[in-house]
Amino acid sequence: MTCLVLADVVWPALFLSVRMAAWWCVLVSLVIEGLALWRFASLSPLKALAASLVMNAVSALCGTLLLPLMGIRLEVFASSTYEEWLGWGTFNPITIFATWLGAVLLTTAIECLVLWLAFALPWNRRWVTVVLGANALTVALAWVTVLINQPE
Amino acid sequence: MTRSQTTRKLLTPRRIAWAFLLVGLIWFVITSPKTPLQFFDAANRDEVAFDTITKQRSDQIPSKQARTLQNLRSVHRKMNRMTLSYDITHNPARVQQERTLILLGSYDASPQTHEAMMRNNDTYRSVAGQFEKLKMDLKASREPKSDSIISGHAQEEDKDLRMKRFQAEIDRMTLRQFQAKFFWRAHQ
Repeated sequence: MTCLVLADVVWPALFLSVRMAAWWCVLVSLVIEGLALWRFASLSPLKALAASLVMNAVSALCGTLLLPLMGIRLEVFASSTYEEWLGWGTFNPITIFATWLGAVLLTTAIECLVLWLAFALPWNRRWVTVVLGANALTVALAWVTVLINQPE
Repeated sequence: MTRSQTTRKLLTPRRIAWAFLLVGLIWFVITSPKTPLQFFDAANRDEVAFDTITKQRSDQIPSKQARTLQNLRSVHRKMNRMTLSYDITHNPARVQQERTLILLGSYDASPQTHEAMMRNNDTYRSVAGQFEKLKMDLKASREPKSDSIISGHAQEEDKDLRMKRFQAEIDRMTLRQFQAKFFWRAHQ
């Protein structure tokens, strides 16, 4: 992030990606998603923990690259459309919501792919919904902490 | 079991996905820059490429000052690269310290490095002379300062082109920073 800050550019997804890669945020996602997989996707506790560990590690890793890239595309679109029409800055309710939605869909896609590849779980609406819900919660939590206390 | 049945059994979608993933990962590791010089070169290659594309698309005829400025930048890049190359061996601590700047395609040598290079390296002396000359040329042209030339050009480019360039620059910068997290080796 220092590189981009030095280049004098920041956008919401960059902050979110930094926060989502923080150890405590990964730990919270690990617990929430592990519990969700165990409780709602009928995985054994050990398998749910292992799956949660691997998918969170991979999504944190990929997220540090893909989330800012997704965010900058959103920002380029936003700056020429609704931000211009409404005279809004980069951090506005629509962008914050769109970044949250994008991050949820992105991490869900990565994590479901990991579950399928590494744990051979067949594609199933039930556990995709479980992962989606768990991610919606953890990304929302990360966003709230970004809004309260921006990463340095 | 027939041959086609065996092939079908072996080539499951999961195995194909794993193969793609592994090939992609190996390709990413091989093609990623690893040394400070490679990161510096990658950043500068991107900048030159973006400049070229922007110019081609905007159909601008560069003014004399713009050309001088472009040459000045190119010579400055050459100087920076030489000092970086020297510091990798003689002052690795500074290279490590300037990591962020290197990822952006820049490098400011210390006055000691500059002096040592001026004393011992003929090529560097000649490039530094060229740099000074271009600087004088730019000043002598009595036209807007370099900053205003840049912004003047930027204003001429249409907004869409600038946004595309901005997005491409951020993409490459984010990628380089990601690569640096894993592959950066200060000592060659």
